Amino acid sequence: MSILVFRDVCYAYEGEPVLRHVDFQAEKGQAVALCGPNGAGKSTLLRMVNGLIYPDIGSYTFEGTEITAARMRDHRYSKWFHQRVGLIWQNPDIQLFCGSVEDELAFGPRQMGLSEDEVKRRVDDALVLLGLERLRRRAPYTLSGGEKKKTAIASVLTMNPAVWTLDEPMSFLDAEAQEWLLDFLKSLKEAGKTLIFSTHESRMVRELADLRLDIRADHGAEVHAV
Amino acid sequence: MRLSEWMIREEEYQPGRDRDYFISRSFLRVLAVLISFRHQAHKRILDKVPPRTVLILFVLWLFLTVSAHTLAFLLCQLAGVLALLCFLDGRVIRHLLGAAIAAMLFSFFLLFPALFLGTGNRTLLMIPFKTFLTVSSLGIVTELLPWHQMTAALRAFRLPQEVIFLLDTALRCIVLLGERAGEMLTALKLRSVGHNTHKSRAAGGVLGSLFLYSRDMSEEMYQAMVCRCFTGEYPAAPSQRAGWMDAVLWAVFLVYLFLFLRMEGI
Amino acid sequence: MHIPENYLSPSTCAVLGAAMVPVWLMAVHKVRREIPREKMPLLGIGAAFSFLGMMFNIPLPGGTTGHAVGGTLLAVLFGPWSACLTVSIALLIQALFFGDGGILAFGANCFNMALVMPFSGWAVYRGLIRVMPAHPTAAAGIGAYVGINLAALCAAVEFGIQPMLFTDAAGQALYCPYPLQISIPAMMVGHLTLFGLAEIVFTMAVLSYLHKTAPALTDGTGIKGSRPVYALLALLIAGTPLGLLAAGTAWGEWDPEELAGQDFLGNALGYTPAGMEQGFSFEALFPDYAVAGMPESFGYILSAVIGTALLVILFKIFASFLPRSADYDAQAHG
Repeated sequence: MSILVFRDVCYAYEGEPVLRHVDFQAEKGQAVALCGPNGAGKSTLLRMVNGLIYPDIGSYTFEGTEITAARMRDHRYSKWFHQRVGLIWQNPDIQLFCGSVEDELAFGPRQMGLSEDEVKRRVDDALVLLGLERLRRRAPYTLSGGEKKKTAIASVLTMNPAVWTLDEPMSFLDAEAQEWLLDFLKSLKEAGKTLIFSTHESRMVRELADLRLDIRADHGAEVHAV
Repeated sequence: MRLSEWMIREEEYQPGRDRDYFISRSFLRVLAVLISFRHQAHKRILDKVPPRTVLILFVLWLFLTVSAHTLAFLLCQLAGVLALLCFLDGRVIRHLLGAAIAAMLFSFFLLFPALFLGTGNRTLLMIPFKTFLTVSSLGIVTELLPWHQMTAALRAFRLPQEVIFLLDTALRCIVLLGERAGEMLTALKLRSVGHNTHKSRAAGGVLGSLFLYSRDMSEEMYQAMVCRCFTGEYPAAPSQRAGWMDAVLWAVFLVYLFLFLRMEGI
Repeated sequence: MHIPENYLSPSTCAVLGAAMVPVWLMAVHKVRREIPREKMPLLGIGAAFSFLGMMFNIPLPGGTTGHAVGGTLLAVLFGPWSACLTVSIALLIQALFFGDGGILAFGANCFNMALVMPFSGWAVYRGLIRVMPAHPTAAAGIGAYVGINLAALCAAVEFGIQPMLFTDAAGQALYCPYPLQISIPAMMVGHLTLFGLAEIVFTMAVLSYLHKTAPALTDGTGIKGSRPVYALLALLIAGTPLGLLAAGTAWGEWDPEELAGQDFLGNALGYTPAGMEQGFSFEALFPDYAVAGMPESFGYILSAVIGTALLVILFKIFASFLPRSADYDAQAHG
């Protein structure tokens, strides 16, 4: 069973179409790249994958369950769903609101009711993996752009979602950090996580993606195997 | 890169019960304000209305409303307000009438005890009606004039430049910060996947980083203005020439003034 | 044709009101499904036309007056279900704000003018257009004539059965005192002649005006009111004081005191039916389209402006609750 399926999805904002007849599906462990000019609807599609907006026409099915406004009103389901699907915003400032990097990373797992030992283990592992140990007590807003981005990624990592959605993940990162991120995403993919990301970088598409979803300026979309 | 064992594993998570309506609710409120401001910022129905004339006539119009003694004149004003409302968008009309009716009910309940004190029914009816008229005409004016035009027109009232500058900046910040707050609350919602014992701390974090952001933003805005030769002096806007729209608006107002004089028997 | 308060027994009102409930539900359902959100404000304008049409009273020798309704016009423009809804709302505004037509009798008035009139007029129009496809305006005019007469007949029957069903111990009528053999001729004489003619003229004039100035509207593709449409509305509003020239009261719309002096039974009735004297009464904001403290004609115009604006606003608000329709298959614009 495909982990997520878009069937003829159309979506309009204030009467203006933003997505037209989008059809694609992703298998577990696949990486899907969303390509297309600015304003074509890439971010809108990511918001829909995260259950923040719903198709006007057509359907979006996640692990066999159609995601609708009614479905997401069920708090238990929506929490379970938001744990399964993680979103990395293009601007990391949006995502960070805790007092320290450490708290930021612990926010998700604490909410999930994991034991303090488990929370500590996850936070430590993530800090090491992303090279943030020396920043652990710093307040997120004092960090540089790249460090903020890494903190945001780490804060989603500790929740261990099955599907990662990333909006322009390479922005805010220098060349070295970009290299690192590519490596990190490859490892996630190998571990069987599904990745959906929007990008302008052809290298990221080439090295990482299984599918490329081209969203055109007229908001239609077509799927290509990479 | 070596991932830890728990990162590779599939997460088995069953959420318990917790209500996080507070996020959804504050989220919605922020969005509602934001949408109204954003809407304010681009869609104009009548782009020819001269802001200064509209503001001056609006003040005079309110003066007529407040000083009227007869229901007949207020009904004439009601007809004018309703006719203007016809040209607005349905959603705007809904919000506007909602606010005006709420204000009317509020003033009615304030006056309710007076009904038993024998002050007469006339005032009791008149004041809520006047409230409705003033609130709905204010709504129409704000709908016709975008914020930046309104602040510019305030100069006609000889307000100090600093006040206008502050107002302008504040209104712009509300839009940007509102957008920001909406996104942050969405991010918080996405990460609120379970039981949150520190809801107020999370909400406080959102507000705190918003504050920091606004501080940075105002600083950067000032620096950007300095780079564009801002020396603390706000140049006076060129005075507008009166157009045919001014004439129309004044004519309509004079008709109402005539009605006022006739019906109030002055 | 607006049946005032207490001319019909509460049970008659209840029966007709109950009959209208499923019709209204169906109409709302149909309008929601078939009329796109963008076209909704146009229905408001249609309702305003009907509202204004009903303000133009025409006198008939003998002291009674009548007016056009425009139910068939709306049915031709927007379909019978939309016409049913729009006329109902125009009638509601008249009853609530202007005291024209009773609140309890609202269901009965809607039955006559919002159900019988547009549907029968529309059926005749559809039938005729097959026979004479070259003259749609004439077909609408004939449909309008049939529609208003059937509606008037229904109103006459509702009036006429009252004295047969509801009398007090002394044999005096409790509600409308005139039996069928008086009410039917009295209503129909006016409507078969002058008021029917007025309805024909109103329907055909508006249709051919729209046909010339806003053809998109008449062939059903237009979704926006254009300048000529608003111009016509403004003209009708300015002309409403003409309706004041008709001095009399429409048959069956007298005040209770006025009624006692009517002599349709050979001599003056001489009493006010008991059900009317103690009946339900409702204080409208502008009874009979008049405003205290201003000249009658100006009050009439003011009423016309307020009523028209209210109708347009109501439909715009209704439309704002519907989802916006987006065309996903049109060529993208940028």
